[in-house]
Amino acid sequence: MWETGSFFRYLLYQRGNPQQRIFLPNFWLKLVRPEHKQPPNIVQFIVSLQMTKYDIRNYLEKIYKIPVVDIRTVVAMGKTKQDELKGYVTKEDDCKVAFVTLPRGQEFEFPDLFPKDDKKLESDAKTLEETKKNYRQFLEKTKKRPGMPGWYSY
Amino acid sequence: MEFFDDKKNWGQSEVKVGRSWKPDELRIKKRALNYKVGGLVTCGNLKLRDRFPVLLYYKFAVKQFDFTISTEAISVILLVTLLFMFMFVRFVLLKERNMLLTMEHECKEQAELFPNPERIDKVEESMNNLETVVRERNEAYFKLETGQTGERPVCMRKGAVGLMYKHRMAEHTIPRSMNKKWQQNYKSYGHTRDARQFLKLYREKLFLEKRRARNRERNHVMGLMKRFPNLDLEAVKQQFPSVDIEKIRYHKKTRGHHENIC
Amino acid sequence: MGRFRWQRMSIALRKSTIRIRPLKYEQEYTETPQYPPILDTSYEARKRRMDEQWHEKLKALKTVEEKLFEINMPRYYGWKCIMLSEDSIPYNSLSFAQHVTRTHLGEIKNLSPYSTDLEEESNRLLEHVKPWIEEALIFEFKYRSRKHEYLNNEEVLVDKLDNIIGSSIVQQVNRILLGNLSTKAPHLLKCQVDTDPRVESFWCVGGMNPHTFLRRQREKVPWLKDAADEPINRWFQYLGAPMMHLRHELPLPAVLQMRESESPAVDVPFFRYDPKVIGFHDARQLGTNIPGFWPGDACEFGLLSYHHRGHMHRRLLQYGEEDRAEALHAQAIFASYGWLLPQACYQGFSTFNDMTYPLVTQTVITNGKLWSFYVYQLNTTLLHADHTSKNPRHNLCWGTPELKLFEAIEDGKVIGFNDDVLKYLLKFYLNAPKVREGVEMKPYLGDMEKHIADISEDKRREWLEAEFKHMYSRRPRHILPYEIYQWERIYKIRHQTRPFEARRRPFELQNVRPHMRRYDEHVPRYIPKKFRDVNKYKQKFEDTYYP
Repeated sequence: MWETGSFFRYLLYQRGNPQQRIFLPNFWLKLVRPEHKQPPNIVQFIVSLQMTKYDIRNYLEKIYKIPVVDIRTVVAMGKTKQDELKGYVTKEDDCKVAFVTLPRGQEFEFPDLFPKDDKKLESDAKTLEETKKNYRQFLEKTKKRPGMPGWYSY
Repeated sequence: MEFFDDKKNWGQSEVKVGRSWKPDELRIKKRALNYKVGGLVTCGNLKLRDRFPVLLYYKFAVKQFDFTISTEAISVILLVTLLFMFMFVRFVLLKERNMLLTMEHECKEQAELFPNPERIDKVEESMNNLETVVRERNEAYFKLETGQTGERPVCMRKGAVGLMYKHRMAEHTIPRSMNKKWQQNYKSYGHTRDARQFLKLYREKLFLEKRRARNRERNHVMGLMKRFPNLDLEAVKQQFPSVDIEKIRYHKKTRGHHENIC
Repeated sequence: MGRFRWQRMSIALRKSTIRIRPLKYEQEYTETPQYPPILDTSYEARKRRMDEQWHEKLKALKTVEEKLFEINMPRYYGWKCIMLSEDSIPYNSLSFAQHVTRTHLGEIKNLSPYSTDLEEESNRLLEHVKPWIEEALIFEFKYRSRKHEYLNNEEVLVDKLDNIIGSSIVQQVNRILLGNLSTKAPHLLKCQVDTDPRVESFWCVGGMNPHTFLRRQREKVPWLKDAADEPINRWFQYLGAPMMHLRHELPLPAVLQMRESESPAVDVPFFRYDPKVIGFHDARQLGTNIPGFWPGDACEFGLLSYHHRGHMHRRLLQYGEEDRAEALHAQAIFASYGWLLPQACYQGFSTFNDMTYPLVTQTVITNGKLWSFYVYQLNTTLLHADHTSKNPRHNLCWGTPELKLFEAIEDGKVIGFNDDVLKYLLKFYLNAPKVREGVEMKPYLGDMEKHIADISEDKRREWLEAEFKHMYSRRPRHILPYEIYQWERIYKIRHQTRPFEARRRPFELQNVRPHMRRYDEHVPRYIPKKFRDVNKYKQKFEDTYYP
């Protein structure tokens, strides 16, 4: 009736082919800020590695009701990182990047999710100043007794 | 814009959410589920964008199948209703997870803190719970209709060195006897002399471990009997069934110092 | 050739070849002091001067082949270029096509020679030709067996079949029109007909955004940081696949004067994005400019070319009708520009040396039933650097939407035959090429030497001929460009985890950049001792005659 389980597997044969249907799909996809400078009707996604172009198109059209014109995908190698002390190299997982073209005229601009909050910046600056001041006071108080721990008072 | 969180949560350091769905809540009957899911979602961690489609799906499903009311039809109605419901719930969860992943990725890009990352785990947990419930229903349905569970079949197979393991079976286009690649991948050396030798030693190891465990337990019981002369032997028998109490009762090690003080 | 070593080259390159001879006393002093001009020494200015110097060199070269050769000289493995082909046009790429060819698109309907003189003539000839065309259509669509055409392919692809039918109808139509019209239009007697010609062109366009990799590289360099988003030049290689074209000794008359394309009413959309983001791909290869015949052919001006439209079947339905129409326009623009540019190159112009007179061609895209007609006038080939924004001239294209020649064929009769379509075709055939009065056709070519074949020195002529043909054979270089393996990228380039290994690969050496290697940076062919000239027995290597 349906295929459940952590990893979806397409059936090789099903009566009355083709009727590939997925109930309860296990696919994820995330919208990311465009990596290249591109026309406003192209949107960049990172999708789970198992997804095919058809899957992406159906996913966007059926679940999100987004009209999709064209999809191009590429499997991108994960970033590598070297440990500073031991020197071994580790690598992040590969991911599939999908460039989805919307119909002409439609535009998408990635929003700025972190609007600058002046109040918060001000209060942060205030706290920083306060901390600095306290530290200076502490130094002033303890400069006569070098090496003495700060918690010791007499 | 369904890929982004509510605008009021942008740049916040904390986003308050409820708990994940429990299997029991998902398992309750259909009418109650309607009500419950709606209620849960609105007061829970997930924002159900539109509550009405649940009812719509339900009505649609009933309409499709109300021409004959037999036991089978009822089971089908029940199943289809629940399926639509689960699909819808699943879509809500999927959208929520995609939204959270998008936000997390963007936070990482902008070197900001992602508020309440446990939200992703909660969604994941809800999804798993949903899957267990669906699996239960699926199994029940399949048992009713076909007498089998409908799960992916599993068999015991002999592995490369002769040890048995659970093999999850899969479909293949080529039969096993002709499938050279499959034969290569699942090659077994279980019948060779080296494997036999290995298995002999392996079994010996298992046996020794078992024997040691048995002796350890017996010694432990003897120690207890030595220290506590008024021990309730019935309780000991129950707790350590592998130990023959009658046999060790008069053993040298069970006799405490209190008996030969004089 | 195997003797070539980078180490040796770097030593050779370090040596200066300039020989300074001391001036004589009377040359050293003049009455008035003569100062050299004061030049801007900024990086951009120096770069621009070097480019200009190269363009002047291209202009000064005498023969056509040497000019074409010289464009590839700076790169051994060729320029990295965006590949354009006729049968894969991505979604929404008309503005891109217009930008990279600097083409203004208009309607053909009221264009002067086609709506006036040629209209009357075509009206007269229409009834004469029509029955023949109808008969050919009925034969091709109804009676001709196609089985043998695609017998080898088990699966008949719709687009392939479309191309097959299209080309056989074009053959028939061309045969009928040439036979019937040649008495009225004598220029058709002299024209050459090529089927499946090789049309390729190669040009440079400026004003494009740098690709992401380059932008990130620039951002790392302190003195290039501010100029990270500066537009760059991109090379474009068009590989055409026309089914047939007609050419003549004389060029078609210009539709408009060249300066009329400078008016502000003529506008071209500006497409600044990297072409790869809309679905084109790039490749490193030697650029080729070839209009279907070799330099030196007598008939070197195009009249008319026919193109397939089978690829329209492959376009996804989601693209929509509007995009279908635009894809045809884009195909026509590329096809026309891609044919006219090599024609201009054979006249001595190039993508860096602008035209002095316009060239015109006519383009037809068809599958036998659906026809689109385009007239294209090439006014400028100057598109590199800031010419995309500053060049006042534009190329002009006038076209029709796709037109149906007939509705259906039933009971051996053509139903709903559209006379207008046939009239367009007649007009294209009747448009006679003329001598350009008072125009020097080949201003940048030598007086005596216009092609390699005119060179009198035997050795040089033969060498150049062989090398030019080899370059234009599109074979890969005999030493393939090296490849950085994935493990090397991770363990040697991104993270230096193998410091004790000998450094032999090009990316580990200093001043070795295989992709920047010049075409002539190789050891010339060795002469075995017994073949050496008696007078020059010490000359180990053969001479080279690179332009």
